[in-house]
Amino acid sequence: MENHDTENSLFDLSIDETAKDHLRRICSWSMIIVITAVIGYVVAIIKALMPKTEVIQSEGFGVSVGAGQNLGSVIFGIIIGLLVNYFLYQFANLTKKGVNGMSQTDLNAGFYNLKIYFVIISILVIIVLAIVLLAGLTIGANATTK
Amino acid sequence: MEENQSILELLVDQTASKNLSDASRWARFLSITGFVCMGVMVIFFIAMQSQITSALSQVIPGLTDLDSFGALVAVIIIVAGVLGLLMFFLFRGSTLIKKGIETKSQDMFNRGLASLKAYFITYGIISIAGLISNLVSIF
Repeated sequence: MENHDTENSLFDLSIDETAKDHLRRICSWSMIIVITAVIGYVVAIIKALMPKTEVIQSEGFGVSVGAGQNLGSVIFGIIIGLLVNYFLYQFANLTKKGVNGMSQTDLNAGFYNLKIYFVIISILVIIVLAIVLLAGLTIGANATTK
Repeated sequence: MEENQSILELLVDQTASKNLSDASRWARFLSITGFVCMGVMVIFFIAMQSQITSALSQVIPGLTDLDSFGALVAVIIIVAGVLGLLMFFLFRGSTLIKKGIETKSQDMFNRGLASLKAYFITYGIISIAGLISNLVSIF
């Protein structure tokens, strides 16, 4: 069994210089994504606190356009966004530490956070698609009964 | 010397392989969902084309139906192109990383990481563009 484990580790893939370079770039861009997202949340709060709606008049018809969003929905969106971006930040931070400090533990923790990041986004996508599908079915059912 | 270096090398060990394989599986699911959503969106716009163009002409005065149609087609092409590229990089990256781990192919694994890098670069550029447009809309 021990021999088998040793054999396995000998044939493991390695993080060579090319892989390290790719990982460093991935981490840098992930950090950029996290920073832009956080600035975006601040902007979203500012926009939510601004006047709510404006009415565009065109040829006698008043078309109401939502210029600002509800503060509650903005905060809800920010909480979910922060959760997702926390894992992206952890991935970038730990992977960079692992690659630069040659730490296998940090590298593995970084990859774990990348997995969680994709899992959370996928679950959110599934929830959104289910809601859209349900809304579509409800509208369709209402249209056929009328 | 070489032996010492290989001992000190970072490895894609069992834990890393499992985490990366799982991440690749979910990333692949995301990319396929993205492609399907994009297709549905394009079909929806084609089906609702006349309603959307007339609504656009009402909202923006002075815009004819033909102008609205042109603007709509341009927006669809840009959005579908950018999202398609993003999903392509994610799909390619996840597939190559998973295959690389399964077949223990260093070259395939590195190409997968390169595609994942391209995905994060594209995503980063889109994020920066989105933030700039958001900032501009405040003023």
